[in-house]
Amino acid sequence: MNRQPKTRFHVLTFRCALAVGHLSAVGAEVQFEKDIEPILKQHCTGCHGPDEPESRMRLDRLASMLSGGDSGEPAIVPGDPKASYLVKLIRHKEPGKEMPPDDPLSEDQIELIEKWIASGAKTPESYGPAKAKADLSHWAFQPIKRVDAAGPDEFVRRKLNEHGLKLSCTADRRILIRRLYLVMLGLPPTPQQVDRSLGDDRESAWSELVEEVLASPNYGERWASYWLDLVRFGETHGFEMNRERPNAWQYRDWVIKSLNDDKPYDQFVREQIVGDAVDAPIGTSFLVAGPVDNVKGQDPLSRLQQRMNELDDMINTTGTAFLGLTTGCARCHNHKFDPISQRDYYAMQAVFAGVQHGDRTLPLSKETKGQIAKLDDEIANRTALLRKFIPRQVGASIVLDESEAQHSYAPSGTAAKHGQNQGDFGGTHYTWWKNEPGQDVVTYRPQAKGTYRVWLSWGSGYKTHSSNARYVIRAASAETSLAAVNQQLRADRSENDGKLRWSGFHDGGVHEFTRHDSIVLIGGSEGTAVTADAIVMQPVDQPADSPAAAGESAAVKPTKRPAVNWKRNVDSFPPRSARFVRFTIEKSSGAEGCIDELEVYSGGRNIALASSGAKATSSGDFVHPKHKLAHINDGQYGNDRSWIVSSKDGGWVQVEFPEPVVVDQVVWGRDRTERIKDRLPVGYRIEAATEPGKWELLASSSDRQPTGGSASETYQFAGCPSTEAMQGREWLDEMTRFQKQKADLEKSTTVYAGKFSQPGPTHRLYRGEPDARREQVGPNAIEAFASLNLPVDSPEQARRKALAEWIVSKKNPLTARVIVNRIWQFHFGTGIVDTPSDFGRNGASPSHPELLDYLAAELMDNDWSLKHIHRLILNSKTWQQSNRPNQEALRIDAGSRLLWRFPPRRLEAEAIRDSILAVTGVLDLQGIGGPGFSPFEVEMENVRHYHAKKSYGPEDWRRMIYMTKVRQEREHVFGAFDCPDSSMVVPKRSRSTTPLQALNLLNSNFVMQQADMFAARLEKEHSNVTEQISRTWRLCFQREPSTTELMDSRKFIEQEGLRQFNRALLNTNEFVFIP
Amino acid sequence: MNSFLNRRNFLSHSATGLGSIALASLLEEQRLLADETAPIRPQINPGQPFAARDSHHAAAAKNVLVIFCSGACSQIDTFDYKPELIKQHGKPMPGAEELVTFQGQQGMLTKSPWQFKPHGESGKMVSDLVPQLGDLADDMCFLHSLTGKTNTHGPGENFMSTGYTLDGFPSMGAWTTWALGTENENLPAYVAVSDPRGTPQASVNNWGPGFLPAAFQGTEFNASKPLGNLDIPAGVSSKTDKATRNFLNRLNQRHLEQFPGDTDLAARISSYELAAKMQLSVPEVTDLSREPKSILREYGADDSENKLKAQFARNCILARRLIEKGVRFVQLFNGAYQTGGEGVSNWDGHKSIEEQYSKHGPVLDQPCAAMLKDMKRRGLLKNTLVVWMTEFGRMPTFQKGASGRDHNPSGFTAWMMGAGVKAPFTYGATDEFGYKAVENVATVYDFHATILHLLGLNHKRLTYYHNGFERRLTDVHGHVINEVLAS
Repeated sequence: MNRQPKTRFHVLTFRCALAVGHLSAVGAEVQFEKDIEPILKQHCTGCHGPDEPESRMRLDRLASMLSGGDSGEPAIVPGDPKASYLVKLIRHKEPGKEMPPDDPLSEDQIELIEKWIASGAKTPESYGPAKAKADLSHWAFQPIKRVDAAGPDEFVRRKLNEHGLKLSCTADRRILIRRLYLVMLGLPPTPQQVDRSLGDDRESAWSELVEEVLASPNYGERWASYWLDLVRFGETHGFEMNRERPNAWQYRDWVIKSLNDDKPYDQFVREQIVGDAVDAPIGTSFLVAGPVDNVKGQDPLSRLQQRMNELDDMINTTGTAFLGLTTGCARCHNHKFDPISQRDYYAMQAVFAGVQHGDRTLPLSKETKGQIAKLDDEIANRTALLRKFIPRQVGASIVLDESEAQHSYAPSGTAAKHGQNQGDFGGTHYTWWKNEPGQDVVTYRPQAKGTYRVWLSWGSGYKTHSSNARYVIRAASAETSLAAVNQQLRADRSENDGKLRWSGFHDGGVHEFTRHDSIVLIGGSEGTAVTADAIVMQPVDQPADSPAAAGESAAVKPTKRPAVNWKRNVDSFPPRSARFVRFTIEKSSGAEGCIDELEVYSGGRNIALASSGAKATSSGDFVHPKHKLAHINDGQYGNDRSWIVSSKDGGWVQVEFPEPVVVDQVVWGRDRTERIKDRLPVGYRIEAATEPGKWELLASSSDRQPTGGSASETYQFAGCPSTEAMQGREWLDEMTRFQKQKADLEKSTTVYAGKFSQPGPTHRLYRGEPDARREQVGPNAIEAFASLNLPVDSPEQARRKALAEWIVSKKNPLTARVIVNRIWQFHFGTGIVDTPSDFGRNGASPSHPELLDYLAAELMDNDWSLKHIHRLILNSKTWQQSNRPNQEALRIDAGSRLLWRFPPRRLEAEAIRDSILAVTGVLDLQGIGGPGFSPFEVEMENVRHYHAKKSYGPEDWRRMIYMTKVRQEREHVFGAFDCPDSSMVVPKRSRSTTPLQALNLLNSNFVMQQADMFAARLEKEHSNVTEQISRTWRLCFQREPSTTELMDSRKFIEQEGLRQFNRALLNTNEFVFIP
Repeated sequence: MNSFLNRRNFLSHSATGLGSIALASLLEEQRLLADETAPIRPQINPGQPFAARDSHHAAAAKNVLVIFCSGACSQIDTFDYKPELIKQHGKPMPGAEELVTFQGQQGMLTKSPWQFKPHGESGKMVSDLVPQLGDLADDMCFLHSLTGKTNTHGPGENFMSTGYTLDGFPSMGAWTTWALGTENENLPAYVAVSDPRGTPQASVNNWGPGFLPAAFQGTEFNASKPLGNLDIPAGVSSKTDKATRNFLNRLNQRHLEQFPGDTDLAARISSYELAAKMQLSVPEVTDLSREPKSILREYGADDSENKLKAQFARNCILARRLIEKGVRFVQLFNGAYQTGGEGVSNWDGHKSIEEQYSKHGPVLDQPCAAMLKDMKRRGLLKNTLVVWMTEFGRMPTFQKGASGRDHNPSGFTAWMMGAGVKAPFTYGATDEFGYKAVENVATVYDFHATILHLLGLNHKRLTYYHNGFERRLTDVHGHVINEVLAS
């Protein structure tokens, strides 16, 4: 790569030399000591020498020349003068950075330098090695020193002694209990919890209470908010549109659970960088928890800039959250204070270059899989129980309605049937005739061929009905008896209740039919009336004389098939030979009926296709370019490939096969692509013939449920005894519920956890400008600390994995120190290092360096257990001391930085809100996890707008951690209490005191409503004002009121009432400060 | 003495400025004390976070009124007169065929549909879209050579209001009030007067506190939208309210007796007193009913034909009153987020700029000009710096296939007026078509540095430590534009 520019350079130099007419050193070998060093010494090293070099660029050190100064641009690229920043500067190609500033080099001098670079830029040994060893003497970069100690107190006491201070006395137990609950759970203890603890005078009482609090699920809910601040977690995208990010909440729940489970911190970190590789996929939400600009213009450079910003957010957050290093500085230039080069920054960018913002469908967790398996068991159980309610999958039955049958004489009348339902056959009425014994009454002509089970039905009820009417099959040459029935009774021989009812079906057995056979109802010897209703011929697979067909067990009463639908309908029937199959539309759902494809099957093969030689004809075609007769059997679906009949009154379409074929199924639909629903044939007949005109009925709509009914239900309870049906419906409800739960569980696996793909090459960018690409950079950690030894084109996941392993390595001096310092900060308000996200040279020094190392070592020695660190702190005298001021100590250390007392501080917004809900008694502690509740009414503009909710209900009584985190917007009551708006990482919240906070807490609807509910609670629990006051004090402050307080309160309540009393109490300093 | 205290104080990273002094080594302290670039931290009394504080150097301006046109108001059609553009109207812009701006490709160079005319003694050419503002040209200091870093709205507003294109950085008003507090503690130190149509495109980011204490967030209200939670709750009489606050105060005082010398507790007590004062003064300042009819007419607040203009005019009157009462920083928005279609509710004229701006021009022009004249009459411009700004500029070409202009951060206009600035004056220029800044090219950082300078603040030393960085309004850039300062 270096050869080409070198050659070009030679030519260029040569020409210049000729033009100038100078010989100088061109042609001869450049000697550093003789030709170059004097120039550098005279013009450069005065500013760029050992003494505070300008831009931290030294021209008397090879390593500095090669790695560059602040700019991150290598001053010298051996063999490539063009790429060397030094040449750009001395040739005045960098506006504003012309070097040397006041005394330009001569052309000869510049050429000499170029030639020296082109020939490899050799320097003598006194210029040092090519790579300088990074200076890691800074305390935070030194290995962690393990110190043996009994606990944190030793270190704190020692430091206090040095300043003539000592620990304050231990606080009152009652105060400590309140402090413990507020600090660890963000909620005040209940009076019962206080009483129980106070009553426990065992020596272990405190440490056991600590354990109890650490085991509470409310611990994770409290401490997760610190972590979410730190990683700029939000549930909208931020920027101009600020749209919702509905699948982000899982990460919040994941953090809460991780803390509650005391997940080892190294694992917690690893899962956030590369959880996709270690069965913790939600963890990687960390990478994309920040804002993202979704308004992308056409300008490619500006899009590139946006992408660089996204990656910068990931690099920065990783650097500051886990390592306490401000890597972001190195985006544009080498880090001014810490050993992080611009190259390191882009090496980290290469680690994350394959990470994109977005939802990811996650594999199910083991836990969810378990839940789903349980639900599957339940569903399977209900499915088995419900099986008997499934109508048997039967082919199309032939329904013979008596109204269409041929009668021997006029009927005497029709009678309405009671209790009729849609699953029944035969309509709502039956017909009755005068009984003429032995005479044919009704003749049904099925025109069907094949094996059928015959089901008979009639109208039952009156004593006048014949008790022995007969049914026969009459063929050309013979008559077969079907049944003799008592028409006073129902088919199952049960007595009627005196009402006219449909008989239900009587099994007439299995019989072979030919096309001309008929079924005849003949008058009985008894009774004055004969009744007739529907007969159903149910196709049977087996021959009539086979035992299976004849057996009682085979008989399943006919039920109606699902209603026709516009997608796909199947009509199966006993196999038979046919040359023609005809589909007759009798009625459509509106206008001329439409079919997109008519398929006729022979043993699983569609033989109706024109391509197989079948020929379509019709009674008439609707004329339209989209709808053609040829579409009926072209093998293509959809409205654009459909046929429409010419008449609104119906008509037929048929296919003719080249020769007779055995057919057993017809499949058809209106629009199989599921778009158009109109023109559906709802009444139809399918017939077959071997010779023209000799039609035999195969199937029809007569045994289908009417459209629009509950036809498509899998289960049918109609016709079952009512208790059975009730039980069945209950099972079905349960199953539906389980199926929904299962679907929800499966759905919740879409998480805003980022998407990963193999990235292209990453380049260092001069000044961080996306169009100023420099050399390619491979994925790596910060070189001064470690190398990940990854090839430039490493697989995406391997990059993040390697970085994560380096971060959580016990040899990494930063990770453990940084997290224990954060824990310390959240206990005491200030960390041991006061700059919690900057442990670099520019950050603050630790107030207690040995304590920091002690805690860091304890963390690593105890399987990275954060709860272990909490235990050490909570059981220390330092934590348990009083927070009362001491004038002498205040004079020496006003900020209580040395911890001569427990530093007092106001609660965070979340803890104030949760405490209010807790004391008023409405806090919903069951609402753990799941999607959050919103404090806003959202105006769904393209650019979202968030307005304060005007009223609040039980859905708002969950803890504030579950409040949907909208970027930029602060909740309208508590946001003013220094709640971050999640646009930025926040390692430490500001703590301000403002009149707006006072106005919000005094006047907001929210607080007034809580005051009301507080008053209602007190009135319900106590009738006596003194007790109500005492109860309020115990709920809010965990103590009894003093006599003065009690008397003042009584007087106030008498005048202004409980509601105002509670309003005041919720605003007190004692309520919102950690004691 | 004061500056010594300030210098000592940079050693602490907390706003209250106590703490780590005791721990800093003497050596480090001496090294930092010698440093002229060391941060200067404001001395904030927790009991009075908004008390007026000293500036770094003598201030030319005490207050700031920002007029912010949301949606990117075109320089081509308002204040940046380009005769060559008029000549070359309908011809291609050299090199434009290769440009891909926010929405895509460029059409032909297109002159403004409005005529430019000379105004005032200075003869400044201003378009007929904003003639009344043009009449104030002799009092204005134009910057025609601003350059931005983004061509999208949200980031553009962020950049102008906070110095960063990203969300979450403190706004100029937050920096100012954090540094200087306010002259009138009974009113919010920093007020954002949003447009009658709604919030601007980057919403509350425009007046956010970022990582500064939340107290320094701008408080949003306007003439038709009151400040939330200011009123005594419904159904509570003022007598009861007072009794409750007194009762609360007694509880807090008794509690405080156990913590003598603890400022945080005392500060919270005084914040309730401040709140009570605010409950009186905010309704007073927003009550425009006592403004004389002549004022309403002058501003256009009585315009029954143009309701939007009348509403904006009321906001202008409110802005003037806030400044009059000593509010440190007022941000007056003209234009809101995009709603009802592109450029309907703000200055984002992509499709048909003539039709769109014909509606926006009159809304801005008379009320805003009346406000400035009124302020001048009342002598308010002696202490107030008025700054007119927008998100970025627009193209001198029309977009391909449209009759409007695309976004253009390469050269755009802002103007200043009032305390400390030279007027009439024009600084910097764009090229012959108004596309790119070519003369005295200025960055938004320079612009911000200049505003802070006028307020007596050194933009390099007004820093706040956050997450490992000493952050400032101007990032690591910016030079005060000395040419625009009145001598």
